[in-house]
Amino acid sequence: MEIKEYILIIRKRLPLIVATTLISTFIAAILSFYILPPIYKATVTLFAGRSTNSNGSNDNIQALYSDVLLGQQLVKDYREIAVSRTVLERVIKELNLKMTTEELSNMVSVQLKNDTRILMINIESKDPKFAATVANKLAEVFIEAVQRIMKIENVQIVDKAVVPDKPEKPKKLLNTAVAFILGLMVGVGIAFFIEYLDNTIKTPDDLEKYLQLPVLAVIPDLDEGGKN
Amino acid sequence: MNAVKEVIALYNPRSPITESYRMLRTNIQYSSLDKPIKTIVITSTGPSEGKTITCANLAVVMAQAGSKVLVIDADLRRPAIHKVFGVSNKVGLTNLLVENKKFEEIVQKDGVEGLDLITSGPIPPNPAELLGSKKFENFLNTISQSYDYIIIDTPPCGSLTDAAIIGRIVDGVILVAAAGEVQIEAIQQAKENLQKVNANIIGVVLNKVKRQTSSYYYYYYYYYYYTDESGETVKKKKVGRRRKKDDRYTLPSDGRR
Repeated sequence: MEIKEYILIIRKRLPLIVATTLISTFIAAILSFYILPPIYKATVTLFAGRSTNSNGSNDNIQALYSDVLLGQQLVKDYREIAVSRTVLERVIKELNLKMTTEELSNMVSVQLKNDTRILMINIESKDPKFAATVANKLAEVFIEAVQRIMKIENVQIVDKAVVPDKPEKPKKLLNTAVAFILGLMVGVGIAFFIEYLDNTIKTPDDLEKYLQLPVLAVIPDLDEGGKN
Repeated sequence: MNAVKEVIALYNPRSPITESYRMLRTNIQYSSLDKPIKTIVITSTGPSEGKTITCANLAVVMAQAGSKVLVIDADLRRPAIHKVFGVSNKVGLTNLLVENKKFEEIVQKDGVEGLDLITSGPIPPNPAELLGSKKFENFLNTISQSYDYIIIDTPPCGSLTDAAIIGRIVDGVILVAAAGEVQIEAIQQAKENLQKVNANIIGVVLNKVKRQTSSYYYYYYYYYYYTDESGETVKKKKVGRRRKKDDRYTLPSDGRR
């Protein structure tokens, strides 16, 4: 097959391709704009490092460096502690939430910034205020838990969670765009599949290939050619 | 002349479609070197692939080139020639075969110079038997003395034997294949059916080719030549895309060379 034939197939099945593209885009748009509830994300940024009162002398550089390394190692532990059952249970208890730890843990995600000592705790919820409250409470409980468990007092809050004003999910335009491309691909796929299943004679080449009979004439379709 | 508009060779002699029928005419002329093709059966694999329209247009372009042409409607199951040419079907082939009517009583003149018609006549219960009779064969042999070409429209050969029965006793069979309609296996079966009775299949007419699906296959003929009223072949400025494959087709001409 040549590129030209591909183009002809696509042109022939254009209504089908346009239809699948439009339908999938439409469904995605309806889902993300009207059906899916908006989810808000509140984030607390934490820093895992001793608050050094460094005077900038060379003696302290060594200590500072090991502190950096230690901090980078420890954030991984912190990540696990942040979503531990003890911490979650404590948050639920302190905020009087009516949910299980599992439900809460589904809302929580912890993000580490690579090669830094920065740790981000995200709370996703339908209610933006609630997300911020839980995020801040979780950070608080988490710092206490670190002190209690690891006996290290080196986690500080960098940014407290604020009430998010824009929903994080659904990503309406992204979803719609993805659905558009997906619909387009599916449409083209179906078009080629139909063409593949179509075992009718279409060109003089087909006749000579499958019948070994000479082609005496190729007559254009009356409806198209007669307009000349 | 009450022919339907599909007989484009009558209404639009300059149409590229008419040009395609002229090419068919030329290719039939040159398809056999030893024995000239005089009696031609036109059939197809399935119904409505364009047999009757091909018959009519081929007959018209042959008559226009000065040949004496007889069209016989041997589709005794669903006759259509009389509809295409807009003539009566009160008497026809079956009257000749069953009631022993004379040829002169059933032949009809058409508006076109040199073109005669024999319609099917009343629909008989046993078409295959009639067409397989010695009488029909003798009739064909006799009548072919007075014409340059006899074109016979028949039922589809995919499921019915009629075309093969006549195909046996004529000079050549032409298969009409509707592009995008006839399945490869079906037309292969049709070809086998014809070959079983030793019919001489001259070739295939690919009908209903859509520009959109296979443009470049006929672009070339489309614009390269057209025949003007004086029958002279005139070269047009607009030359369609030409591919190597096109070379094997005979260029359309006015057929009088």
